Amino acid sequence: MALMKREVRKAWVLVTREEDAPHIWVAHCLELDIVSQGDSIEHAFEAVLEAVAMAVHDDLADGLDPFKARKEAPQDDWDRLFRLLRSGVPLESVPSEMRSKISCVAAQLKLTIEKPASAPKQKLSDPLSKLVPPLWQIAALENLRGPDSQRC
Amino acid sequence: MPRLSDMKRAAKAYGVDLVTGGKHWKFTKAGCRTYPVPAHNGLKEEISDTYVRGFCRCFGITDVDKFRSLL
Repeated sequence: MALMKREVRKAWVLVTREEDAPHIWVAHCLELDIVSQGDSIEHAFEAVLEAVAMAVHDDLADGLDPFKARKEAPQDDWDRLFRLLRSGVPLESVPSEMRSKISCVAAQLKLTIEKPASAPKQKLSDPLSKLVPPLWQIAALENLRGPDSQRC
Repeated sequence: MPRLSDMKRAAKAYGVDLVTGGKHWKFTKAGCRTYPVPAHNGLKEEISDTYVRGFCRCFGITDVDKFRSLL
């Protein structure tokens, strides 16, 4: 039986409404600069999980560390994340009638990568990606916190 | 808003190919990392500008406006 090495990496995902198309939610994995989209917040998260898993699998199959082979997202996106982390609220705390006010959401994605400890040419299993923890998401709401609140 | 079919055509001009199959298709080019593309609606999928900019960064396309003009 081959010895497997398990590595856990985390990455930030920022989900925002597309400016020109409010019916589209865009999900952006910042560490890997991978973008996907969906027609709801949850759908966008699911889409980016799939996209990241696929991209990471391709990188590993080429013998590359995805976090080194890919550039991070531009600084503007990171700044947006930092603003959200400072002023946002947990998504689970947002009343359903206020969800339409959400402008962006952030969550951490957990990648569990298993690869052989040796013999790198062995087939790699698909990396498992999921949100960690599933409900720990922070939402920025337009005007929720009053006149001092900032848009994400 | 451009659709995936428009992206496919414009990407070709930069030597980037669309590989189809499964839930997530991907753009590929020799010497670059693969870039997944959401294809829930196949080639009719509307592509956000955020995705277009990420695509350009992945494949080293610095003139994003020029790429957009091909969409």
